[in-house]
Amino acid sequence: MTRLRSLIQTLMALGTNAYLLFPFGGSVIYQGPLKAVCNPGLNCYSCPGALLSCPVGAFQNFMASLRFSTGGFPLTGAIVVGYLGFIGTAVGRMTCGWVCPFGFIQDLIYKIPTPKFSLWKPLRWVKYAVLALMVVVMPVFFVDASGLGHPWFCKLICPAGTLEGAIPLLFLKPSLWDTVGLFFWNKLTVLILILVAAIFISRIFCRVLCPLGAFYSLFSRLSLVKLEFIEGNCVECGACVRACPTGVVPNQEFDSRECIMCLKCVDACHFRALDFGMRPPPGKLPKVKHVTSPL
Amino acid sequence: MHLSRNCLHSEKFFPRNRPHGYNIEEKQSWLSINRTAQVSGIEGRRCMDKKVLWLIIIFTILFIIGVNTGELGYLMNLGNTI
Repeated sequence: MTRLRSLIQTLMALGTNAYLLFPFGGSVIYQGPLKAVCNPGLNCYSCPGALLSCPVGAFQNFMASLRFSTGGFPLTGAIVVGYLGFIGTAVGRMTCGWVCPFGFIQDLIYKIPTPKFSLWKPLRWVKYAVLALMVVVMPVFFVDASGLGHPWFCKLICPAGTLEGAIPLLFLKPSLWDTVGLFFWNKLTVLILILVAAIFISRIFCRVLCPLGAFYSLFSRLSLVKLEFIEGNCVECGACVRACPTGVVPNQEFDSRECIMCLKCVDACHFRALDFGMRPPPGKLPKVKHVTSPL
Repeated sequence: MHLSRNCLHSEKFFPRNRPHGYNIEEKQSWLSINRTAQVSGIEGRRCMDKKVLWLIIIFTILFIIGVNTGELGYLMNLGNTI
């Protein structure tokens, strides 16, 4: 399962950034019809390779434009909320574990052999504050002198934007160095801090700061897919806990908001106490599942 | 994934830092008793919530509203504002 996940992560990261294959196609950033579709994971719109939009950036731009929606129906970002909500309801945070390019980068960095540390659990709540304040509230209310809102998460924090957008663009288009200011150096510092921290703490950005992960996690207890726990097979050896990249205790925390469905725990459990499955339809009693033991 | 009997004796199956008082004989006897295991009571309650169907309908409607109110065009032209 780990190999399959790595393969899908690689294909998604390369596939959604396939414009890199045609770097001399005219514009530095692709702006064709595919940009009307949001990437389910966190992938910067301004990445020279990006074929799809960033959902967080797109939503912030909708929020920032609310004040200027004069005449007609205000652009509220319903298209992004509908799209992300649908994905969240269907697969929850599985997107983070299988599709997100920045999550994949963190997975790769974490493979560097160093001592590893666990995360202080209350920090998990920070990402909800980031979602509420920087993605929803600040773009509407924190405006500049001309009354225009800004995508504050992209401007102040987003490490994916710096890594995939700002840095490659500065190398591809050196004239952009003239526009570099305080925001860039601030974000570069944030990026370096996150990448260094990701060597020691797995998926630290996903667990602490990612507003997209926070949004998907709201659906963890409702999504159609789930991690099944077969209590009779569990010997409480702790292998699943050691394997989990987000610090979940799979045999105790069911439908955890932190679970990114990477299924490392399923691979780690040799007693088949964990399995991946779909929720049975409402009103229908779930079947009693018989699972053969490994012997 | 099928595990052979020999696999049980591997280091991967029984890591060095296994819990105190945990041994292969104990595990094998346990497994022989529990050839099949039933889903626990906690697990059994985790069926799909009725809210899910409503959420899917609501999000689909939101998406359609977004498309019909010009948000798709805005999204496509976002690059001109960045």
